Amino acid sequence: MRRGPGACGCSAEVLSYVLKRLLVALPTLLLVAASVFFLMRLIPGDPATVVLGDAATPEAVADLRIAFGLDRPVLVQFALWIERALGGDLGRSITSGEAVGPLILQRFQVTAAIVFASVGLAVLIAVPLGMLAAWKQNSWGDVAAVAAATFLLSIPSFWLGLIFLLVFGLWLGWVPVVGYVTFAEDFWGALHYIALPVATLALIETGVLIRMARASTVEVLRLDYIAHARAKGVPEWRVLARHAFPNAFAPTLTLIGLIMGSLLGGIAVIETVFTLPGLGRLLVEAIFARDYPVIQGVMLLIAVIYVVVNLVVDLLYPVFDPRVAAG
Amino acid sequence: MTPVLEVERLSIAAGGRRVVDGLSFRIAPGEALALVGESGSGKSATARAVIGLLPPGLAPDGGAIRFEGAALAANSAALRRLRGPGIGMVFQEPMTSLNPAHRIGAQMEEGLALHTRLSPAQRRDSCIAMLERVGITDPASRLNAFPHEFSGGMRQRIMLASVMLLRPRLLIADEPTTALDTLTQAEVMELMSGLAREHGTALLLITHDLGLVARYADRALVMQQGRAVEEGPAAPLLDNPRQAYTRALVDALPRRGPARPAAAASAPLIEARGLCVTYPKRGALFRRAEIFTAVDDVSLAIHPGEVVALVGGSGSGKTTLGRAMLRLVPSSAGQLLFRGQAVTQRSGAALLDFRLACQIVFQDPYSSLDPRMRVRDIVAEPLRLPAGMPMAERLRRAEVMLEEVGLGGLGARFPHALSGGQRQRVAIARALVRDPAFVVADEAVSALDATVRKQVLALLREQQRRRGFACLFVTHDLGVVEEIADRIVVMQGGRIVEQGPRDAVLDAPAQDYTRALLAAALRRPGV
Repeated sequence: MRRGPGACGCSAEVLSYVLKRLLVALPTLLLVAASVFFLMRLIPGDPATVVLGDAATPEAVADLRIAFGLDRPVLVQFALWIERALGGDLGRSITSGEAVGPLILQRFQVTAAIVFASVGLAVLIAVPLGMLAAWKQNSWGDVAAVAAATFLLSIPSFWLGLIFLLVFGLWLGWVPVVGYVTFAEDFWGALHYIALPVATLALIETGVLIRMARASTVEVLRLDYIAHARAKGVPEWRVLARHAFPNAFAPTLTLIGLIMGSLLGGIAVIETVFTLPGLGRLLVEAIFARDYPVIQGVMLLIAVIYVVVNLVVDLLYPVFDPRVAAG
Repeated sequence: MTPVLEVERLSIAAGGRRVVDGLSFRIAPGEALALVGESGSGKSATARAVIGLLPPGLAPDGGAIRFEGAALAANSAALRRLRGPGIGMVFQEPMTSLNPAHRIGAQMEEGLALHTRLSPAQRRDSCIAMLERVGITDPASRLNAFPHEFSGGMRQRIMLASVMLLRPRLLIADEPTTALDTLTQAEVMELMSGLAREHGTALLLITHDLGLVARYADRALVMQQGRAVEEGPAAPLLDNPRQAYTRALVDALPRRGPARPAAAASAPLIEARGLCVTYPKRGALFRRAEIFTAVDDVSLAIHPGEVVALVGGSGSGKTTLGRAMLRLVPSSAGQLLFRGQAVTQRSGAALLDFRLACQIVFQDPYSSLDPRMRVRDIVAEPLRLPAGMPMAERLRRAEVMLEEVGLGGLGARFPHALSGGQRQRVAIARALVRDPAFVVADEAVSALDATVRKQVLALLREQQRRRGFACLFVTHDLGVVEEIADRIVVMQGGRIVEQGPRDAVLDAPAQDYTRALLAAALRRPGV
């Protein structure tokens, strides 16, 4: 019989599938790299002018452009960048002089910690809640859950973040308002710093996920196999957990993948509100400074994130829906 | 003797309307009762009410249901314990009635684990034995398979096995074979009534098909709009219906019309020569996909004005052949000739010529009409090609066509505001509006109730006689063929195994496969 690779979770077949998927992603990454590279250079503004300020002499600007390699033809610049990137060197930041690779990874850790924690939390809250709402469709509990979800969806994240800072940071003083330490430096301290951003993001994503989990559960509960399970005398909690959950969760999984992708690519607003040194803020700052190497590096990382997240979702899918086997 | 099931003045309400109204009946132990009626007669709602699984929106509205003498309270724990070992239920749609996320072994065992004290090994053994009983080969290893690895007929067997495993005293079967082709239908019904007899299980059979009633029920209760019309022993009731409604149902069973004189030795209108259609099978990772041959070297000629029935079980390739003859699926080898000219390689304007002369009516009137278009626009659409006819003229012709199919005045409606039979009339109007020379009707009446089916068939026949188009009527049901076909072509495994004039094939079939199809066909009892 045929199994999905996720269902057996072993075998060389899975490994070869993963490798194949990553190989197929290479042209995508190249395309992203090229479009970011050339589109950036279409934006008016020049890093040398930005670095030197308004008072710079034309000579100083020209010298700096040579130092950055910006005087060469664009195609040559691109070829050089690709060549170095393949060797693992993404260049140095024009503004700070730091190596781009380590800089991005360091910032990404902050964003990733917040995103994983908040999406995980959101799934834990939203999926059971959405399923219960669907189970009790049209009851007051269902109406309340849908209303809450819609409300959460419509709150702007920066506003919720500011309110949290005000209440828990200033008034109650439970968590620090500004700053960040890494988990490696101080685990409990780091937890304090990311608590509010995680709560903010989690609440907002909960809204989307409740609606999705509810909608797909409503679909599934209508199907004959649910009636069949009940006709066998299966208790309701087991009907939900065993028969409805795997089938209702599969579409939600796709949505979780999309959410993870877009959040990992940057949560600039949240990072700005909570003054966190994350990937999103790095990107925004780099764009304002025309810091080409940093922008290119971040965009490339975002593309890689999407490829990897989608791959993970595809590998997990057969666990919930065995009809989908990789291939 | 206490009846297994006693339903007394049961009413079920949907909103303010009663879908079941004061219905009473009883079933004795081991007895088979058929609830017969058309869609909307309330028969399925009754079945669901018995097991306490009314869909949302329907609620009991008075009356009592007693199982073995004890009243059933809705949603009580006692009812839940009864489901499975007391009352089992088989559903209509085999494609959705097994959970796609779990292996069939786990799904079968679930009931045993809930209701018996058997050890896991014993449970496994009884699952294997029961799968073997319902004709699943290699049951031990098939326990690990998922539902999607089985065909519809196999899934219905597995469903039956998983229900009968608990040896219920009452088995409710809600249109258990409606979704299956004729051959599989007969096999599953035989299996079900055989198992019920072995275990002394009483059977409540919900069906719209009088053919099933005659063969598998002791007694029948005919329902119309939520009320009992007539009740009695099955055979006399069908042979000699007392009520007009029952008579109408019986009359709706297919009956053979007089044979028409064979088409004159004219040149064929459309002809397939050695036609093959192949699909790549879904291959495993990195392995070359195998080729599946759906239509295998088929030659078939259809003459102008001739109605040819293409008959076969599911997977016989009949639908694929029908579509290949319209070039809706590409053929991999062979030739297709229309009016003596090859159309296999045609493209552009030449292909359009061919397309304009051919039309198709699909099986499912729910998905073959665009829900966002009004009925008259749907019917007028084929007239847009070739360009040039003014809109007003197109709409006028559409209205005339709708009038002809009995839908005069309904042109402004959307498909969702029509019944299944009316929708199929729209599909027929759309196919006929530009007077095609050749029409493929792909299971065009299979999704309809018996009485509606009869009306739609009559409409098709009348239009065919009047307009004289050639028709390839694709169906799994030989009963339907009797009414309309001039010639019958039987397909099995992608090949034509038998063909000939209707009466010759029906009265003296040469192949075992044809005989099996014929035996399984639900025809008028006693004819």
